[in-house]
Amino acid sequence: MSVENNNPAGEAGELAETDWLAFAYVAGELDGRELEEWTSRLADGEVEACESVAAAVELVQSMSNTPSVATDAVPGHMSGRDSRWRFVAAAALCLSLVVVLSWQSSHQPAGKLAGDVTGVSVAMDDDVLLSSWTDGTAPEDVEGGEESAVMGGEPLVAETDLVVPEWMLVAVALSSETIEGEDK
Amino acid sequence: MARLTSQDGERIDPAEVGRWFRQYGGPLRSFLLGVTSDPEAAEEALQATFTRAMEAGHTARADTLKGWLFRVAYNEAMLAGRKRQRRDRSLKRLAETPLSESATPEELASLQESIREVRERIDDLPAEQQVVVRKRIYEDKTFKVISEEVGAPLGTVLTRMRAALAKLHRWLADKDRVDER
Repeated sequence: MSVENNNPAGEAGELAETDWLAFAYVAGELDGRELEEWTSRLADGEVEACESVAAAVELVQSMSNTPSVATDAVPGHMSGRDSRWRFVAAAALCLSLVVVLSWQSSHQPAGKLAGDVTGVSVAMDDDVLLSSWTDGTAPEDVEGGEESAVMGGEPLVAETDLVVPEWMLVAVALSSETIEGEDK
Repeated sequence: MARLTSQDGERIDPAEVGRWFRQYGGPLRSFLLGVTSDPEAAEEALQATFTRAMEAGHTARADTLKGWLFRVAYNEAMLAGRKRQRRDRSLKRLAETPLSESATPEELASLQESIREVRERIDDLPAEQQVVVRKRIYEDKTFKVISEEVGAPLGTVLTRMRAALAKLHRWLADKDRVDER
């Protein structure tokens, strides 16, 4: 399609024609004669045209890219509604995980507790686990109580078992992004 | 990778090519990404460009060196494009390509800052321009489709995009000037 418009320099501000053509080229909006003429400028090594292509790419990347790995999982732009849905989905996932663990614990024989990660859930009273989750109490708060009594004071959970999974960090990051977005 | 075929006496000092890479490597990488729409092909073409510079850099003139490098890069991109299945152009894919894989922590911090600021600038755009930018960049819709969706003539949509780009370009240029001081 042609990207020429009748009023490029007026309403459109002062974007140079070369910058506009570079953006249209990068966006794949040039074809036919326009594309042919533009690519011949690039093939000739016309510095202004080539630099405009580089600038268009960098601008597009700056609009939505994030250089860190953690945020690669997060789309560049999310509407507030998207963020809320993701947060709700993450919360639902956490809750169902707790429910599944609780259900498993109530259906496993007591002899299987020792040395088993799910044994932690079994050792703890389901209600304690659930309330510690919903109240936001740290596992340490629970450890000193009923757990220690059941397991003879031995630490029930290895430190590595308490490492927060990456997906949960993403969920928390998303929720704080939502809150920040709503504060604006 | 191509062999260095020049005679030793004609070959350019590798340290000089290293300086070219530091000075022009970033813009050339972005340029190649724009030409190929494929990060791997762009990287391949960048490597080939500097291999070519080692071979024939002595024929380049200092006053036209940048144009020479861009020309070589474009030719290498075409060669790389012939070897690979050319991908459709997609701004969304470009936007999701890491800005730099070899950036230092300081450069990454600066990039993150720029990204945050650009997003804020987009939020500052007039609503009708924001809609066009978001649909074009994030949703990867063509101007024709956007024109149908917003119920505005194609020329109006193009004008809005162009106006938004002008503001962002101007702001980035101002920012670069401040950073250079």
